[in-house]
Amino acid sequence: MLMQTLVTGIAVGGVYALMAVGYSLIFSILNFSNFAYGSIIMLGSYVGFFSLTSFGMPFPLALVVTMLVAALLSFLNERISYSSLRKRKAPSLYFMISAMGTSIFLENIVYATIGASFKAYPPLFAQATVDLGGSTIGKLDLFAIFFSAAAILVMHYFIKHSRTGIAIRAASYDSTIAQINGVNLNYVIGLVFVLAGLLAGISGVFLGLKYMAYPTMGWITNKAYVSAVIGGLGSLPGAVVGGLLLGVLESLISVYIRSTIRDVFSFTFLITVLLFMPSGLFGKYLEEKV
Amino acid sequence: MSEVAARIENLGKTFGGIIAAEELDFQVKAKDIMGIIGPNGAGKTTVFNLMTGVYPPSTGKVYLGDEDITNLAPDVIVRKGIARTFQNIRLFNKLTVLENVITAVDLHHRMYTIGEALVLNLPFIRGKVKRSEKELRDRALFYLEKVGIAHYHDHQADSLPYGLQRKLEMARALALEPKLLLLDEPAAGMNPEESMELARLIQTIQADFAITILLIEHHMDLVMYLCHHILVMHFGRELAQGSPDEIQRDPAVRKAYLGESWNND
Amino acid sequence: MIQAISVTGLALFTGFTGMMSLGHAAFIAVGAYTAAICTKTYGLPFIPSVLLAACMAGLASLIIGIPTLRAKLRSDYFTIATLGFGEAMRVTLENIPITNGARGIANLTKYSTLPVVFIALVIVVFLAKNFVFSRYGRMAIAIREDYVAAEMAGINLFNVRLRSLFISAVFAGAGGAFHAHYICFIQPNMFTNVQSTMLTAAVVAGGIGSLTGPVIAAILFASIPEILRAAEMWRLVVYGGVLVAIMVLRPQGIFGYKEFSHLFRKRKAESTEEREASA
Repeated sequence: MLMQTLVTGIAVGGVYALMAVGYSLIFSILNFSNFAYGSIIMLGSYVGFFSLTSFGMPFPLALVVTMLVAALLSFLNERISYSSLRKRKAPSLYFMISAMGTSIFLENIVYATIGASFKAYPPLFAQATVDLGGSTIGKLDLFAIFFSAAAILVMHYFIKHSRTGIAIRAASYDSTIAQINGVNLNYVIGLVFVLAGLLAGISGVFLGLKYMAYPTMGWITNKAYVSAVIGGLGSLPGAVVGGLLLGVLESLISVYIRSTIRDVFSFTFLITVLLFMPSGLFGKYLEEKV
Repeated sequence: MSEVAARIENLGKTFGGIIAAEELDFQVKAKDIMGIIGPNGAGKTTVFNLMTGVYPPSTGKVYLGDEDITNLAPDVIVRKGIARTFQNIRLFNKLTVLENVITAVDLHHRMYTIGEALVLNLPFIRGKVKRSEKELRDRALFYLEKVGIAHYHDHQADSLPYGLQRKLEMARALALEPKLLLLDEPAAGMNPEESMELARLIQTIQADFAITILLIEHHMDLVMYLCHHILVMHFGRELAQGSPDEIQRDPAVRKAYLGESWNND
Repeated sequence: MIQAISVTGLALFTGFTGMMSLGHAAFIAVGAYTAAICTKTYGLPFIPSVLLAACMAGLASLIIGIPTLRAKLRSDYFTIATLGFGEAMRVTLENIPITNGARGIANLTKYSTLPVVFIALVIVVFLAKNFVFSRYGRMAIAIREDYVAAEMAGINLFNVRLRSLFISAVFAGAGGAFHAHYICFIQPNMFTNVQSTMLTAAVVAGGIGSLTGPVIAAILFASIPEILRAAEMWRLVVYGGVLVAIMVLRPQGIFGYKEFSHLFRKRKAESTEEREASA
């Protein structure tokens, strides 16, 4: 039972981590909370659903299509909602409001067009289980764990070692100086949104498989932000650890105490972490250049 | 002139492996004007940031007078008596020129409480809050007059031309009634005449308020004219320290820094 | 007009302190429930109930403000915590006995008549105006404009932000109390992020850094869509779009950084000065 809960927790946490990494990536380069990111994940979840059902695509193809569509949406999100603010050097409050507006817009457009009903994914893994040391574990969970880990590793490798990745890191450290050194900021920021969009697509599909797709999925995708803050905003390893920790703890709480208090618990946990570590678990104290 | 306004001991700061400042020791004599010079990226502003508590030092101590102020919060340090200006001007843009200074006057002249502010400020009645605000305005105007921009008092801060914004920053810093004033490149972007005019203003301010000034500057003529003591920094370390004459004669300084720019100026 | 009371609270916080809250609905909920329980369960008179409601909302704001506002350079921590706070509040209200769970509290007395609400709004705007045009408001604006410079002007970021949040929550709580006694029925799902969204939309459309703007916007927003009730979802789509459009095209909103009374104030200030100069 414990084993099973832990695996579920890690699987959920893996998806949280995936979302948190995407969100953190954007945060680290533009320095604001992109609240529209959750809505992109939600849309991704729908795209995955319709690719599988209406278009009858096989799962791998549907996943790729979803990733691409989510990447495109994320890119458009930046170009429409933020790029002009960026050029004006608007305060981050404006970015956040614009992000929130985008998120409300997207969420409610789904409500108004597709409707509030829950869309259940076809049962790809639903019943399949694996026996592991006496406990039954869903194949979906295992698959989610491996796939999230792989996606995060690929992303990590890309950012650490590729030329573009170095440009991204430079820009997140100091965008002005990176620009002076020949980094095309517009391109780098667009790319970051595309990368985050790809991750959003993956998370959207996994969330859809696990919880179904519905317009207010935002409450789950909010966990992306919460994980990132627990881990320390702007820190990618922090986002991963924060996501896993939150996922595992939530599963334990749901199983051993009561599932209704899961969200209250996440919030309490967030507040507790911040109380003792004001900048999160891995938060380097963000120092501004003066 | 023997009294010490501030003392820096073995000060150092590293940012994730990059050394921004290292093994710095110096004293600022009370009522003196001291200068810090050095090429860009030599760690000059880092010294100011460490002294004002923007970030904590990795090593060493900062003393104001005899008091250890290392690791205190910035707003506490200001209260103890260090005020500063910024290399890239930082004003409260949407406030008026006068309000920018009032914000600083407020530090040592807290005239009414939140309860009084909320309830007592009735329309058409000249109560305590309005009287206090009037006094704050008057005090703030005094500082604006000192730096010569009083007639701009009701302009929005970001509408001022660049040079006047620098003066406004100085007025705001002065209004904090500091013992030690840190000026970060006050003459940046000024031509030689303007920078000499600024030099005279700094002298007047030093004398009128009887304060100590530590400044970072690239304009050598201004530094040599104003400062009695100069610290030269290079790659986060001290390269030389001494009077303007000594600095100009110092071979290491000439080689590393003055060599090019001094002759060109 | 009841909305306008809560909006004033958020305008003070977002517009003048430069921070964003996604959980003001939770403060409204705390206010609404406190007042409802006071009048219904304990039979307290309306006015003390409203005051108590406002205080409770203020206390709630401290729970969230104290841990999150300490990370002084990153107001994002606070904003994200407010997200969780809103949700946690709703779940809590559904699961504790005193609030009667998801069914809510019905049959409240209708104390919030038009004159009562109008007087309350006048008082709230008066208090908010006094706050904004005092040293406390000035410090908040200084932080909004440049928190590093504000800190170097001796302003304690944490204190000022927490104070703004507290007052803002108090107003939101009072708004909640009036709201509860206007529609006479409350349940947890009335206080969702949809409500927080409407508050933000009013503040942004009315103008960040203005009080009168958001109040007028709130009244407009509340009166126009009554006609469009049927198209609830499309209305929110429009709100979302408007938020983005305003930020991209006209970030100052309708009255950004200005008040109706502004011109008048300035002139008065100058004329007193001239009088004093000539005297």
